[in-house]
Amino acid sequence: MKRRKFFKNTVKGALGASIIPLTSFSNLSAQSTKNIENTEAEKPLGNTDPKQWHQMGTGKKPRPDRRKTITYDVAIIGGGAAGMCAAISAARNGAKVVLIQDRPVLGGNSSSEIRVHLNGVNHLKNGLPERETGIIEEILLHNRFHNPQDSYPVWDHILYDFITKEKNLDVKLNTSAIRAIMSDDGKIKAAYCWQLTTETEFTVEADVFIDCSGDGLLGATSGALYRTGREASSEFNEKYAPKKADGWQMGSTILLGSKDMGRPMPFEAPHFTLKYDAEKSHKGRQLKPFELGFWWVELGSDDDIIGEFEDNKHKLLGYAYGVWDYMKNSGKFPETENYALDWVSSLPGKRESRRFIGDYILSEPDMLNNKQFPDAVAFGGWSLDEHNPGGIENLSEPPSYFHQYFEEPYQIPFRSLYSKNVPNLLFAGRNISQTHIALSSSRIMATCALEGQAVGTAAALCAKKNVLPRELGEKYITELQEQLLRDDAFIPYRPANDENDLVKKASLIFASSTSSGDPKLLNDGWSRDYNKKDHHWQSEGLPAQVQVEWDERVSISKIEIKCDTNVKRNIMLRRDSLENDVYSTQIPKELLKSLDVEIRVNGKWVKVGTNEKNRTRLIKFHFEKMETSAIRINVKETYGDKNCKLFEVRCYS
Amino acid sequence: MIRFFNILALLHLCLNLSVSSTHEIKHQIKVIHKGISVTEPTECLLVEVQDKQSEPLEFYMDVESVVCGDNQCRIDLVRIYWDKFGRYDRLQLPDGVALEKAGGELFSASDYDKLETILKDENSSLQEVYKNEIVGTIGGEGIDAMTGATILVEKSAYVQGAVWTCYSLWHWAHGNAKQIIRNITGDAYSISELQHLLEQNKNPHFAIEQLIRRKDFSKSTNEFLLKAIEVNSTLLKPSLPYWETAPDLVYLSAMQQLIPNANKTNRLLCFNTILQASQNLPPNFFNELNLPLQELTYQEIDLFLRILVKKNGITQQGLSTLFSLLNSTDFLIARRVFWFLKEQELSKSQEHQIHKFHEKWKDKL
Repeated sequence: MKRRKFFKNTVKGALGASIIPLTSFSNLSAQSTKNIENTEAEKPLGNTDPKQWHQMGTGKKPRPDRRKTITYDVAIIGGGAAGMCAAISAARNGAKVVLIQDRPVLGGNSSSEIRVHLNGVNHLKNGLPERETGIIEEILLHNRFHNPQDSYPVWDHILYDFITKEKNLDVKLNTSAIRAIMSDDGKIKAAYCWQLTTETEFTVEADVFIDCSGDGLLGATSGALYRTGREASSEFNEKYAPKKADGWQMGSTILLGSKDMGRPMPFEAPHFTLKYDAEKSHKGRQLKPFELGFWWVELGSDDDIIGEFEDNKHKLLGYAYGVWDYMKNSGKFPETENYALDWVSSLPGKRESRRFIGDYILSEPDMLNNKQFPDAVAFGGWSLDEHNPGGIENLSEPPSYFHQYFEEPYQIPFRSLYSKNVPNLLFAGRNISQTHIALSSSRIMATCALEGQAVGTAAALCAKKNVLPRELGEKYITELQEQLLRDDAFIPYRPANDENDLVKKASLIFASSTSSGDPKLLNDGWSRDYNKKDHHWQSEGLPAQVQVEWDERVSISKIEIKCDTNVKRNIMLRRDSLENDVYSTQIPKELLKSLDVEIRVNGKWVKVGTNEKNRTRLIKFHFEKMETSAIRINVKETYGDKNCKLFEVRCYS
Repeated sequence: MIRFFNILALLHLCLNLSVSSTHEIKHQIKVIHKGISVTEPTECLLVEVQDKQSEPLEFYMDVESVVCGDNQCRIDLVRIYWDKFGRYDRLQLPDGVALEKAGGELFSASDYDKLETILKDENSSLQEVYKNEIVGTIGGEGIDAMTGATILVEKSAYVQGAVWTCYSLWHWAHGNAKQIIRNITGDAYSISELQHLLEQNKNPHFAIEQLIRRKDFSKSTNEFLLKAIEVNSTLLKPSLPYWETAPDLVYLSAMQQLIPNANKTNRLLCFNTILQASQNLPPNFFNELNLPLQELTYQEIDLFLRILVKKNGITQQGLSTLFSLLNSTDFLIARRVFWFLKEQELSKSQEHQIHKFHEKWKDKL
């Protein structure tokens, strides 16, 4: 293949994908500090003195002790899409959780600092999405309700609002998990963290740690095995991998934004600008639309992409301004005359660095052959979108090789989400156990979010059952999958079969009207229409009713309903506020807005729940336990559709 | 077959369209074309061709041959004809104009045949396709990039190399111009002509739709509708909106005739209509229907009992009939009837039966 030439010419290209435990850093933190004078061990308070700080307000001479040890069931490192979903799912499933995020905002690559679209299975081979549900959808819907203006700075706080309202969950922003503190049995005992804004050292103790940080420093310092670079095609029989393993990792990108000022806006490039040579560039480096920047202003590495980050960032800024300079001053784009930059990212969005090694390494054939995993817990379906590793320094080749689209989503197994050698370490996001080619698809944020929900739920189950992730996978995988499905995650070809769901035992389900589907499908375990098969009931007009009857009496205290949000339309925040049939900035018109639920007690219907402003796909009603032989769901209004579509009704005692 | 323009037709197309002919009426209409915008209507000129009696004969509209999705199309003005019921009839091209495929290649005779077959197919898979689904575009993670276009529509639904033309023309031919044409024709029909269509079973859906628009609740229309349903039971569903807005007497008489002869599907439709309708029922309405209660499903019984409560339809005679259902082989029906009866004023013997049922099934109630 043509692109291989580029790598042959690089010396470092021959380094190869290898398994590297990061021992030097952990050794330094554990041992060598003892040999340095003035260390923390010798002088725990450093050079400080109580007389040093005269607090004028109180007159006191305090000596701040900003070292704290905090203890949780589950500690999650990284507040991007994966980390947030991990934190919320762990907390909702009963664990006491802390989320450690090293930035002032949540959202990772999607935050206002970087502004990458929160893509997922946006378009399969048929051109349609197979959108993610569960926590990530809840977040995206929350954004649709509260951020119709599509503002990225507001999005940061949509996420902050969503996370901080959760019970059992503490968030530490501006906090870096610097190293793992290990116990004698090889487990991570604590994460040593530094909160920049409060000058506080946190020792975060937990039973289970989840590294969703992307770069995976905590995992690396715990000694967890990981890889960087590209596998040889022979290792996993990957047709899109190079013949020989090498060190290349896809690069980071600096995005920018501009606005029309209504008058000519001259542009003078800053001194660090690097000239963009459009003549030598592959036509895939599209310059239009120009208003919102260029995802291919990207720089990777064939070696230590983390260590090189700041140098690469400096160059990337130069390249970003270089492309803009070309647009403004080459004379070839008169349409840019009135445009001026109004935002340029200072934090490149990362695509790749460490990939931890789990009990299973997900690879290209697994995805392309849609391998069915007994421990599947998440799915993906973005194309195999392997960016040109040379990035903008390899202009003649396309910026990305969109190797192949998927016919349908692929599964992601639980065994790829925990460490092979650090027993209480889970991970989600781009650092999971997978090959470089697999990463080229699964790195997309909504896919990472599904992995996050899976490991968060798993961590809570680990804490509840007092087991480690591997044992959970071996003994309780059904329980994990059932919990995920109940919480509205979707696992392709893994229908729910929760033995505690009383609707499974119903004698009859019927509806007042049906325009498509069948009310009997509401307990078939599938929470969406899939692979051309219906799994829904849809009313004909509104209001409408669905009734579930049991022959025998049952005790019920929870009714859980899954309605429609149209998973064939993307709803993520986009910088271009794209509005068409597969992307929407609107609240899904299919979403059920108003409903109530009744229970029949001694032949009379008793209302047990009402929701006039529903905003989620999974609608829950909890009430005092009651004996009954029937429930009735009265659906009254959607956000625009004349009919209401439901996919699932569950009841629990 | 595509019929090519004669000189006269070409003149029509080329002359200023605002000049009116004696047998043509021009209608300014707004149409949603999926290929242009799913939200913003496009203004178009629809021409109604009338016969000597000034009755609609057919309709046509001049449209651009292609709503181009990839800026690589040649656009021609073509004419689409519909019959007076809004059904696509034919396509005409100006003389000297031939449709073009990708790479500038002209349509062959078999391409025109295929296009005609596609346009005649009301249920073409193009119906559900949005323009951005036609050609797969691969996106970067930032703003989507367009590379490696792949056609994603099934091959039978388009002429190879002319997917945009097929898509554009199909959506012109089967867009909402259709309904506008139907309404123009409907307005030109008298009530008796619409009734006649029903009687002859010719375009009955058109006749029903237009009679509903006209709100004609005459005895004759009512009867024509009932007869049409007798012949073709699937006409009940589209006809129900007619009775839902009809005066009480027309509505009641229709329900009395429809329910006893209805199959399960239609009976449920009628029950639902009755439950939701604003019209009231006389107390003995159901007694006179002589419903075959033992044959009804749980859902029908449930609806029936709800109607009795909501519409004050409970009579002693009706109650006695219901008691037989306490012995239904379907326990859900028996229990549903038990709870209904338990709330009614009953005789001593009836109360005894209720008590017996309760004793027998108390663990399941």
